[in-house]
Amino acid sequence: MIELRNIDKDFVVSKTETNHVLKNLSLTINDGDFITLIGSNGSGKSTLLNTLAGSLKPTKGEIYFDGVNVSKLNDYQRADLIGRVFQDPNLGTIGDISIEENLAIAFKRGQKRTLSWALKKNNLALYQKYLTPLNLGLEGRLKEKMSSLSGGQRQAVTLLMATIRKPKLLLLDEHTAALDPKTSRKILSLTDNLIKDNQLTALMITHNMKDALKYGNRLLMLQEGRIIADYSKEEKEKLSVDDLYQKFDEAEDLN
Amino acid sequence: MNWSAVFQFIGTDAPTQGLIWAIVALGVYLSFKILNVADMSVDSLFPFAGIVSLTLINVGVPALLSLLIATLLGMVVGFINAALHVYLKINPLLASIIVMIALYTPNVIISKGNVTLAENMNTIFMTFDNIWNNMIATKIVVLALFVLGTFILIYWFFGTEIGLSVRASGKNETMAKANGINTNKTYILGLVISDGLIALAGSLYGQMSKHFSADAGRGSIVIGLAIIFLGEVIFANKSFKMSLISLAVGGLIYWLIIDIIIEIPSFNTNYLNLTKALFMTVIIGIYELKKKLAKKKNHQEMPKDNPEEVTA
Repeated sequence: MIELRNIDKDFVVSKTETNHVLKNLSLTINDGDFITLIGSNGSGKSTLLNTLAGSLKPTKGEIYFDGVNVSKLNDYQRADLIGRVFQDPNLGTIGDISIEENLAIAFKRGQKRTLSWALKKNNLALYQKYLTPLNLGLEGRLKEKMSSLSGGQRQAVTLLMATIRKPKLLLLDEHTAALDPKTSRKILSLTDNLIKDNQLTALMITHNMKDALKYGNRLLMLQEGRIIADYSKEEKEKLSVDDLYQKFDEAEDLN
Repeated sequence: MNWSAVFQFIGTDAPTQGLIWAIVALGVYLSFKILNVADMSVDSLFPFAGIVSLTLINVGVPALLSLLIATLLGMVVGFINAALHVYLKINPLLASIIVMIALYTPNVIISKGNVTLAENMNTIFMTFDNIWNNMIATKIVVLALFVLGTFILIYWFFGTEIGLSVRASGKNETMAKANGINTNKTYILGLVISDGLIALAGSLYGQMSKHFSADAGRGSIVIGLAIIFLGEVIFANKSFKMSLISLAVGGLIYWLIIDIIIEIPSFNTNYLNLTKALFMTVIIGIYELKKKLAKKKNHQEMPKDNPEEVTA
């Protein structure tokens, strides 16, 4: 179980101006939740994700993973708990080194890195085993440079890297937004399968309302740094895209 | 002009210089190519190590031990250089310039302007020369062993889990952090190794020439960078292993070219630094041009997710 307790996140813009991005935000993520997160630009979606990952520290409030307070830990110190896939396919992987080397780096996430050889024969077979179900033919291309892959293929590998060591929480930051529609669909269903097969807990930001309704078992709506709606699987199934727009409009009128 | 002396010079100077500067280039490669920073401290660290090494020998420290001490001091300098950035948040380039300026002081104080090997004192080359009795061969063999040793060690290290994490940090900090790599630590480690190599090379250079002045070493970084780019122009940089080999070969070719330029009868050696700078400009120009052409070609062949959907 992951808990956010009364999180404030402020950005100082100038001496007289402070931007309050997250406002007293509390959230409990249960094990096995696959949450889709929607909200307009500037609503604080990415800030929320970065705060969970440790790339940003909350101004106020605490974050607990299974009862352990991780608020003070940096992103690399929390990496054993968190798998991340970014919007930009180039951010999650390194183009200049081989696919195998990328996977070897991810395979050591949350583990002690030693002076033993990074590319091990035994692991190569393991990587091939993981890559085969992606149906991208990458299992035979492990020695090739990452940059020889397309954006969609790179996101697929990043997904694999983020989950090769089972994370407590998988963070997906609009990870299909930079892809063409067909590839985006493929990567989303791959994501869904990975989460189901490995019983992962995941939080996915999306701009696509249909995807927000189609995937996951819970839907969060964020507006001006506050959670304005938290729909369960049953509630979500009854909703339409229009209902979501209406909800956003109502929230705006209240402000 | 005595041409037989010229040939002798080319025949002896380029290999030894090339071997020493291959180690410098390896150090610069680690900072410039792997960590993605220009480490200006090279310009005063190189003479620092040479001066320290010769001074230690003059007070009776064995040659090999003086080499080791100078290298360790270089690693300390690398740590300070990295710490200025990691802990004080100083821009990496500025941090290395601060270290470069600061080192001028010990260089002048220790050498009192100039340091020359005292008579009856032995460098590592002289120690080994007792075996062969051929100074040129000895120098080349000893230096080649050091080049081989350092290059193999570096190749091994960057193939380990820790070494790979250092490479990852320089290439993509976001990815490195997301995979649990402490990029501050890897930055420090990378610069410590890089500056250790520079100091080793400076120390070897001092012992080979038996003389070092405090203002020597100016332009070391330029030579190191020129060798890196020369290597990349000659070898189309395929893998990490090939990059390392290109540095060793690049070092030899660089000095061969410089030697040939120096030996042009009408060449005025006062123009040497300008010549080196121009030479480097030309090499980088060719490198960038090659990269641009490769990119153009690559762009056309860039893999698409759904080629059939792409319309002209």
